[in-house]
Amino acid sequence: MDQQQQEHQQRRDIAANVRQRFIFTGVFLLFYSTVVALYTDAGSWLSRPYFSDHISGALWLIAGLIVLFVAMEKLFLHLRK
Amino acid sequence: MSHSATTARSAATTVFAAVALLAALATSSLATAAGAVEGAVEQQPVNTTAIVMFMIFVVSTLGISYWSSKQTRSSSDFYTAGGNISGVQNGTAIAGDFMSAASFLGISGLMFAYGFDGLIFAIGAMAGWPMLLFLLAKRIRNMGSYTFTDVVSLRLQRDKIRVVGIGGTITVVVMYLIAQMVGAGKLIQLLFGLPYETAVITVGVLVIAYVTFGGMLATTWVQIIKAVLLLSGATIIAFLVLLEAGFSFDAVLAGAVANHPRGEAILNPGVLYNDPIQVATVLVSMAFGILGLPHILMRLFTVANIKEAKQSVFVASTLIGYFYLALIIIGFGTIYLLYQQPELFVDGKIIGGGNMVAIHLANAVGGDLLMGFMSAVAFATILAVVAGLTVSGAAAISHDLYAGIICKGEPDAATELRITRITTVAIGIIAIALGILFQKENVAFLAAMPMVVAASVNFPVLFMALFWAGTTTRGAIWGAVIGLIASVVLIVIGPQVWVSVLGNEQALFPYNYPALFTMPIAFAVTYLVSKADRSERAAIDRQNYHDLLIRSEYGTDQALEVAKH
Repeated sequence: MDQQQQEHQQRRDIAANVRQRFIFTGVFLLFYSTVVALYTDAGSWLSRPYFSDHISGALWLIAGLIVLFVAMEKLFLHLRK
Repeated sequence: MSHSATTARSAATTVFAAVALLAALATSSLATAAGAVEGAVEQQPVNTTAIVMFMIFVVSTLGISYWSSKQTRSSSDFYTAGGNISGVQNGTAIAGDFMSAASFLGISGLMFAYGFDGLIFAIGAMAGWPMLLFLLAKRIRNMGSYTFTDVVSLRLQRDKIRVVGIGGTITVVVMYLIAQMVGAGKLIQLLFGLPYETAVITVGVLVIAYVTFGGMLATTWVQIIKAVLLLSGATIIAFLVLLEAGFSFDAVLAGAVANHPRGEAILNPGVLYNDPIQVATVLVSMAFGILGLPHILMRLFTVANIKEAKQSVFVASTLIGYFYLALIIIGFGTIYLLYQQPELFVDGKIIGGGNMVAIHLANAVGGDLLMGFMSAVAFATILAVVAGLTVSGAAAISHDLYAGIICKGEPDAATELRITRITTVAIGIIAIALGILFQKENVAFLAAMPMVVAASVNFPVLFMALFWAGTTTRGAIWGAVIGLIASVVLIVIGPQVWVSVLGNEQALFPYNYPALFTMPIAFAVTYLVSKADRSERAAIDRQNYHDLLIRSEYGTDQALEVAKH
């Protein structure tokens, strides 16, 4: 493979890497925006308790998002190993 | 007049303009914000346990600083500990740097007052870390050397873009320092019965000692120790709260609902905020602000390679996530347990104000011993964060301004190190002065302000320089300047300053955290000005992107040599 081909291949790899990063970021922002939805009519169904007498859907969502964000980072690192 | 002299003068003007603006705000705050503290801060009996624990922390960290001073012989050692920190150590230090007094004291205070809505700040503060890993960590680590300004100046016109970087860094650092120093003053005032000013001066002097002698190495270890102590303390408090409730979080919430004047409403959104746009402004400011915090970005350079840098972010994220999960229990635990203790309230308001509820909770579940421990930890928290900010501010002046602009990248090493240490002392003194001026403000709100500026000035410049080939120096400068002006103007005419500080009846702009609007403005201006830029320099900037692309992804040095300045 000559230098030009090698550079061309590197740029294709970089484009793929950047695409993957933006996909992860996009998915992340989608999940993140659900917090705003809690304050709209679309999120009102999370105002009642789930799986307990007092733990509301909104609280489950916040705790779940924290865990999900860490899991997404782990997956990202795994995919790019 | 030479080009470098003109540029240096512009840098100084930018820096001093930012500081002068803040000083003006501080003065107006002093004049009109009397009574902003929630509840009286009364002198407390001397807590020997707290004093002993605090002294142990101070003596051990000063010992570390002495040891670090022996290892700190160059600017590289001072700014980045020579790049010899491991990923796990660095991640723990980042967590220690970021889990500030605003996180621990401020968010638990907001939850005590408003319940669920206080968590908006927690999820916002958590959200920046995945994006830092996905988008920026690799390219920043591969492109930079000491500061985020190094990263953008590698591609754009060095002198001019450094001025922007210095302005952004100093503005963020100064605003952040205010929040930390206010928290320190209130905490020590409550715990030791010391005058507020004495407390702030104590913090300033200790930080000057840590950073001046030990640089980033001492700062890193102070932050690691603080992170371990804070996470341990938060775990113990959360455990004891659950123990009080028979290990049922549901029972904690039931007790909180029974005690709080708002009842069931505290379990759901809507007590503090009911406007989704207002929530979005907080979330955007917090998440994207992290991506522009200079003292956090600087930590990516303290490790040996990109693998360790990525691991740093993941470790930090995991620890911070764990901390906020514990904070959910602690926050509702304050409502569950503190309302049962009428002696903590004076005229219906809790002693020391909302920022002190976590400390009261430690006393309620663990007695003097745990309160003393958590007080010492909270104090350590402030010291660690202020130390990190001081290193970052010192690097902006000595590395970016002196070495980068005035000496054109070829400074005398000994002089640079000496200037770094002098700058450290100066920043410590400024921090003390600002801490005293801003003592009446809520630390959680103050902590959000630098996030807005970081999201609207530093992040757009960094992102566009790293990801868009069309970015030019002129576009980046205009984007940053407009982003800064928009941020400051909207913060000043927003409720927190226009109403609470200046005493007007109604705010001209309805939101406290305007990054939702100012960040897109900065991006749009950068894009449009860059598109319209037909200068010779613009062609070089665009060419540099392609030349540096391989380096930014693979960390090779060959591309660096072809970049033009």
